[in-house]
Amino acid sequence: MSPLERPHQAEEQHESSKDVTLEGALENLEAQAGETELRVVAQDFRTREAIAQAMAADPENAEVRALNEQLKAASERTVKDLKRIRVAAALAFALTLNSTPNTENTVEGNTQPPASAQMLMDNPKLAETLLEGITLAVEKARAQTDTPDPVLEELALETNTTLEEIQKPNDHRYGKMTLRVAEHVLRALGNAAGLGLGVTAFDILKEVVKTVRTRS
Amino acid sequence: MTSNDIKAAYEEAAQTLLNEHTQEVRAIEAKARARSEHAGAGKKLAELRDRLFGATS
Repeated sequence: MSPLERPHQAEEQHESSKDVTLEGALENLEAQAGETELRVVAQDFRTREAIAQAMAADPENAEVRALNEQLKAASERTVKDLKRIRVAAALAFALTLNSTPNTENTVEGNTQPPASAQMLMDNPKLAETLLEGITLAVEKARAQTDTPDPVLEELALETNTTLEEIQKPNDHRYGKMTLRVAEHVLRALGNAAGLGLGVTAFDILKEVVKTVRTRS
Repeated sequence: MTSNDIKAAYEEAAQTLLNEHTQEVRAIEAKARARSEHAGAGKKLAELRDRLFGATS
């Protein structure tokens, strides 16, 4: 059985995730992402036609040429944002559905990290995306509460420290959509903690952090 | 709170992004159509002017 097909560790406790595999969740996500992007392309095509007509009617008009640039910028931004929320959702699925320890390759005295941790370790940029989303969500949640929540405080400390460690100076900006998905991830982690699963998920993040730190 | 919630969060986020994009792109489209109409109206006006005054000018 491949790591992607491994069933959830606490299936009995999680009725809603019963029979859901990471592979299935990612396939659904991919299908839906494709549909959404197709709608973006269809809208852009219609607008591009309208601009082409305007250009044909008035080829020298600078305003019409600027519309073309505006459309291009809007499309690029939307596609990029859609990709960000897709990555965040995929990681959330990975953390919640595939957080069992990877026992297949366990060598005596050298336990392998969980499969999803391995996946994130192989893709540090994905881990960074998830961590930044969670950091934003944690900060927002902290701002809304007067009394410090121990879980939030721990997450804030861990994620902030982690990001400082792994984030190189760049122009990454994570929009509110990523934040919204991350909020749900955070809530899922919090709820999972109540069922004794949060520790596993949180340990995955820590495992990723440790590895990324030693690699950088 | 597991896969269904993440799915719902993703769907909501994607739909919001799509709505915002639609709004922005339709505004661009409306401007383009307005420019076309304006250019078309100008052309018709020029043709009419030529028909009316072309012979005398």
